[in-house]
Amino acid sequence: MTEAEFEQAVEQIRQGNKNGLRVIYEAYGDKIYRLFLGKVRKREDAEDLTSDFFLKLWETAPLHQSGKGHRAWMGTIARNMAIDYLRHAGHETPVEDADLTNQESLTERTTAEDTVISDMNAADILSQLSEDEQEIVRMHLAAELTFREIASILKRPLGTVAWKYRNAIGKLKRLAEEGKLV
Amino acid sequence: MTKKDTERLVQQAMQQTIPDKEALWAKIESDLPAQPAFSGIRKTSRSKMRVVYSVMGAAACFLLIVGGLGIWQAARGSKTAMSENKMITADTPKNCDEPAAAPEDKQEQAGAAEEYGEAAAENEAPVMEGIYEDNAVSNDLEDVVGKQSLSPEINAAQSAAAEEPGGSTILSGTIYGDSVGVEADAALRTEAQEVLDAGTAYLLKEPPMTEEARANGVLLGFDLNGQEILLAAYDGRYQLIADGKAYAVSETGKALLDELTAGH
Repeated sequence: MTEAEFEQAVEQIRQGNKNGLRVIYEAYGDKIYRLFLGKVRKREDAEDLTSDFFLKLWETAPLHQSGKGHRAWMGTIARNMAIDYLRHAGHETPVEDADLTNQESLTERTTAEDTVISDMNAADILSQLSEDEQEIVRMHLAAELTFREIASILKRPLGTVAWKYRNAIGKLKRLAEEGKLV
Repeated sequence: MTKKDTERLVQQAMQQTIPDKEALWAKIESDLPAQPAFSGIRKTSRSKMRVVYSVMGAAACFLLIVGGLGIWQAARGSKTAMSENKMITADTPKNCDEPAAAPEDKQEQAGAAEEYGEAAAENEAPVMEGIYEDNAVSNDLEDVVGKQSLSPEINAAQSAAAEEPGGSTILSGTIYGDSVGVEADAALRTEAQEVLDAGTAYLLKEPPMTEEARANGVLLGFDLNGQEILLAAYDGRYQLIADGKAYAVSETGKALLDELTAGH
């Protein structure tokens, strides 16, 4: 969705036309869902957060400044919502606080109540990476954000984001060659 | 397996979709209030102030007219001899029917934004400090480039052009995601700079890599006396990364290399 198309949708929202929100939902619903799923790891919670996101977007889209990069803007909102959700739910430290050298496997963090879902394959693959690397890889490959957008959302320099991504892919490549990836 | 294959593998594993997209939309739609909080108002604070100033402007016009009529009547009723040319009349302000232009008032805007809750501020895309202050990459370009896939011919051309006449490869190209990485071997600082310059120049002049590089930055990786160094080049600037730390941003890469290799 181009900036112009997004602005058109926002204008419809301003007029109280739900079709504007529907257009954005169709374009970005799955990507937003993937972002949440990567954070909260439960499909039901990710759906609830996705629903809350678009309800929030209905209220705040008219405040978006045109030409300011709507994807990074929405990504920031989604990330903040996920972090708030994890904090209020009493979950472990959100990804943003993870140490660079933290190699703790994600599978060790899942609770017994977690639903076994097919996307655990993705979690298994990414569990080989640090929290920072996982988040960047998810944002880039699952949510299809550019490095520049990711840098804006994470408040990190563009080069650092690209460097971490490069390292992450390099690690996964080596693991794949060794047959250690699911 | 190439890095591109690895990316594809990981991306396939992460292509989850909302299980029942229509059902979720129905839920969202049913929870939506009739109108958004800011419906019909593009820039709330400015609209409010424009209304205020319009009212003030209209009131000022009214007072001027009334005052002018009063003075005119007083002048007519006066027994002092006055010529017509000297009759005092109130000038009707120009464009009195039009609302007065709302002056810029950033403080008022900020106050009005706060009035609508912290959500307004927290949902703003963060303004990056330092190197991002004048980030003016065209969003249209990003949207075009973001999903562009580079053809194998371009990969081959890049690798082939990087080989020296003797056959040894000084540059090997790797394209992963939407950025380009060039691995270069250089044992000496001088060679590293030459390779860096050559690699950057090559990558930035060959379309569509030029668009890729401009949109997402060029990442050059090289080994300098056993130390892995990365140079991120974007928007005409460079960021040097080594040991996971970003050293500096400058207009050229050379000064950064000098600083970094001073101890070698």
